[in-house]
Amino acid sequence: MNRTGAILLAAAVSLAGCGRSAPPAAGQTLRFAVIPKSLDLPVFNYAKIGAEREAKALGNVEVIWRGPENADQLRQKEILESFITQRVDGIAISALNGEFLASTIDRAIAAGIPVVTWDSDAPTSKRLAFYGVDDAAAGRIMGEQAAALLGGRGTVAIITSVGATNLQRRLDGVRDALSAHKDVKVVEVYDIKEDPVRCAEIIASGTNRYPDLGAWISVGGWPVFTRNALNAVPPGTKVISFDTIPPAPDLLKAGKVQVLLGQKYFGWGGESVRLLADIKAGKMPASPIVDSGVDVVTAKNVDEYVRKWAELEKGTK
Amino acid sequence: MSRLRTMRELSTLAILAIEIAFFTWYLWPGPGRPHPFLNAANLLLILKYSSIYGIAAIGAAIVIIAGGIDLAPGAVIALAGVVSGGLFVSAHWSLGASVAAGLASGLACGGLTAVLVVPARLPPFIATLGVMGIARGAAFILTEGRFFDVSGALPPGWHVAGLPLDWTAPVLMAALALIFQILMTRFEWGRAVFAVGGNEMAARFSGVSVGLVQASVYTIAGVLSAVSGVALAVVQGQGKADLAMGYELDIIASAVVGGASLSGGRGSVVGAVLGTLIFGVLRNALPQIPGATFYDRLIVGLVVIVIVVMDQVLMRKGDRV
Amino acid sequence: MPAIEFRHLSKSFGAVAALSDVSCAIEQGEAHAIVGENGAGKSTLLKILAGSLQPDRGELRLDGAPAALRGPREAMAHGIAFVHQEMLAFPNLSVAANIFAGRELTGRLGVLRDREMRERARTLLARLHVPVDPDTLVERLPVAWRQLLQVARALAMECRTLALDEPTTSLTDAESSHLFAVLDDLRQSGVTLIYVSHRLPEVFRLCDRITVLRDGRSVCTLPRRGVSHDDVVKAMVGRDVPARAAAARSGTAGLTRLRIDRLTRRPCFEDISLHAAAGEIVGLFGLVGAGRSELLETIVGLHAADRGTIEIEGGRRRFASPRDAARSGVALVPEDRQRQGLFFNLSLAANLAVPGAEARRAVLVGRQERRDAEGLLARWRIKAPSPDALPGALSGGNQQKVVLAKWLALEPRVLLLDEPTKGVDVGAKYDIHAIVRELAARGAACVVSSSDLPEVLAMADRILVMRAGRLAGEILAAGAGEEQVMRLAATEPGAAA
Repeated sequence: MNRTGAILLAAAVSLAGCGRSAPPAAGQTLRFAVIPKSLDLPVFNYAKIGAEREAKALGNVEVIWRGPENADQLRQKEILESFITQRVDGIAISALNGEFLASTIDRAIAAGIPVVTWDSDAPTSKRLAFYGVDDAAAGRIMGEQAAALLGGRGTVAIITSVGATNLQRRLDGVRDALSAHKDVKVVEVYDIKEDPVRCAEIIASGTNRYPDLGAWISVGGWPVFTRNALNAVPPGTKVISFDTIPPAPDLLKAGKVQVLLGQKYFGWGGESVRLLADIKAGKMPASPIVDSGVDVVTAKNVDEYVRKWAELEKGTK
Repeated sequence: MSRLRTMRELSTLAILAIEIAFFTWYLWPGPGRPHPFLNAANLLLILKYSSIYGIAAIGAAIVIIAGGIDLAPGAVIALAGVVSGGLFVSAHWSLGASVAAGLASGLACGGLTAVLVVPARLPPFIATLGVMGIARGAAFILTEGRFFDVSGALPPGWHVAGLPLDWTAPVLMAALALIFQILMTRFEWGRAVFAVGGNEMAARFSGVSVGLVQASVYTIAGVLSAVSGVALAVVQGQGKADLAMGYELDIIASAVVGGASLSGGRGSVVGAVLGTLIFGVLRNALPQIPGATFYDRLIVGLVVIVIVVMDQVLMRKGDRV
Repeated sequence: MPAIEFRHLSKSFGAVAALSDVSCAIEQGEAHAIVGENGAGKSTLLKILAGSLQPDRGELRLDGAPAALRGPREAMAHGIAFVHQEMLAFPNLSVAANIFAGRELTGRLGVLRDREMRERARTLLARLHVPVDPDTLVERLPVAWRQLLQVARALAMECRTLALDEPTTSLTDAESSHLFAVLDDLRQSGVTLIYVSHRLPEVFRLCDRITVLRDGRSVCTLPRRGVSHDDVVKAMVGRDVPARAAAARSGTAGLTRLRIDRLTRRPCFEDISLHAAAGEIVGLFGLVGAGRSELLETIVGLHAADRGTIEIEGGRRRFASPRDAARSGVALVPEDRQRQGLFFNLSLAANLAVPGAEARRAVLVGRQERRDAEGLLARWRIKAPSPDALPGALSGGNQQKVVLAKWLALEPRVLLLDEPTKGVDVGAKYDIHAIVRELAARGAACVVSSSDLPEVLAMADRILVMRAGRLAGEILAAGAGEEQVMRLAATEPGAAA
């Protein structure tokens, strides 16, 4: 038989054997797309868990979790656009670059799809709500903690990734706090492009360059996502980092990190889904900025924190 | 012969049609809801993102028909985007000049490949691997790890020749596909490309300038990849060095699915474009199936194998004349 | 004024002189043969005519005027077309496209005039009696018709000279006759033919004059009439050739070394029974497709037989592989020496050592092997630079001698040869016959399968004729005539040449 015939036959067979007798379940299930910055940062997995738990609790919500494989701004924009054309019922996104996505977010809203942001905001867009930490405040806390640990004098190196709004705000907060301490100097700001592997390299080469560094401040959790990124840090140098997901508490207990700032990871997913569900039901959020609050974890309260975390993981809050 | 070729393209079109029909059926929404897949905006989206692959696939098909192979498209796409984006955003060149410079960078890459393959006689795999590294490296050096935000530099509502921005790349792809399809089938140069790919020695003995033909196909592929890159920068809005990583494999797969044989002498420009659409539909529709997000790479690989195996089986059957 | 004249052409590649002072004049409209052993310089001469090579000294004259051709295009411009030995066809293009490849009919800006080319192709194919649609893809054409496509190309070019290089190597007799009819036709229209071939019967059939090349020199140019095959061979080889009649042989048949009884392997051959005794040379003749190669391959264990028995010196055997057979003294020298007989990436010494090593389960090439190799090269007059040379450096005939020498070193008890002199030049051919006779004299039983009837008649004591997988008959060679054998071998009356 000729080629076209063979193809049609194959298609008919595969359709027949597909095993789906009817189209997917009907009914008013709301489909919400939840888009992280990337799929290769473990911190976002908790958002996924939180989102799916909330969806199950609500009963009529389906979560579609999809993000770029690594921090690729264009890919994220492409994914956002595809959810618009697929006519989902709501979108919750952590923006790699809020400026860049602003016009696309506006297009979604114009098409009748509500959009909320979490973790990293797109403030210039028409998004309906943002759930996350007050980045500037968090940054200030970090700066203060660093200054306290250094006794008001010493050198500090900062790790960040250029592009994301939230990270920029935290960086500003850190600088803001440190500016009040005349004897604390920021020697360098490193950009690791959201790549946790690069982070380890930077810490090693930075330590080489500044062997007497007083403290490392990381506005993102990259140094504590793996167990060995901080190996190059000499014992006298302090480390203040964002994020408290495992293995960060272990590192803190082992003395490799002095201060951790925790976010509401499960809440990223859960709260966003709830916000979207409320919006669909006609209930707009009281304020577009929903401050999740930040947890400051040190050696004093780490055990308590770990206990609470275990409960969160099990799903008993 | 032209009759036989159209048969191959028709069957590729049939695959595409069946694919679309399948997903339309599979993703049928509940009552009162719009279809997530079969709607104009989504289909335009597929076209928009596929045309970045598609324009470069035209060049890839021509190179493969000539008996060569090109691993550089992804890198050249990135380089052209960076060059045109950078000149436009940072150096404040006019848009026209920036675009021309971006195309020139593709011409340079294609020309370099031609020199490596023809007079220097490097195997095309190695030559294009080298050019891929050079182009990608150049892109990184030029951007120093940053990127150029072209969308911010363009006035809002900007368009090309009255076309909305999103239509620019697909229309360009269709026009280029048509032009090159005609060149390949109805012009002496195209016939020479098929001859060189079919039997290089015979072509030499027949007086065909094999070197010129080979040089021309690599140069054209370079320019087409650059068109893709410039379109990417302007339409998507970013000139970035790490874009289009690994695109060359998808591009080659599209050409093969569209009928090109890696041993040379066979293939179709239109088929390659249809091939990119086949993959574009898969990339768009698969993530909509719950639980299938991580399967799309696997399924794309399987699709390529199935189509090529079908090709082999049906071609061997046809041999019994 | 001759149409083509080679005047004192010399061409060397490094230290090797491929052509030395070769002169030859070819008249317009004649059919001129160029014959010679491999390495005599025939292909170099053709390449100079084609413009692929430039001579070091001397000149080429076309129609009296000196011409320095720099490529195929220039040769074509002078109306010289070639039919090469290799299939220079484009399998992925249509017949029409193949005919016009490189010289397509074009309009403005290079647009192809496909319809016109198709029509012209149709006319040409009709003239050549090739019933094929010009749109057919060449890969679907049988090999013989692809050969004729090259002729069609030449016709399309409206060439004035057609040079053919061993065109009938892959053709059957029927297909060769067809080609000759076409060439006769061409000559009628005044085309000059240059015919390069080993096959003297063809040369004598087609050509008016014969130029003999030997070791890069032109020896003589003979008119066809009044000259015999042997005269030509003598000129090519430079020495007296042994008489065709069988030379001294041990005569009396000895112990039966090989006996096969009703051997069957569908669909290749069925119910074959034969026997060969020590000192005997049994010829196996048949046309292409008769099943001879498959029969020999089955005997040595390359394939499994469906039915029937094989006895080696009275003991029933079934070999698991050719290696197994070699260890029992039964050797097959295959037809396709390129793919099955020689390792082209190993030195001659290694090649010569392999069968022995295989049979002894050892692999190394040491000093002893090298010495053995030198001895073999000398004994069989194999022209090779050294035992370390690669087979690719040797001519076809010498390669075949290496293959034979390889096996002979093992002194097999049963030697099966499949087309041993196919594609081999005349001098080497006689050497190979001598080798086989010597082996038989030493007590081996030899079965020689060949489609070259004169060769079979000259070498064998008995001739078994196969036809379409079955035995058609057995004849004693002494007193047998070509026609008699051919009749047995042909599938239908009148199908053979």
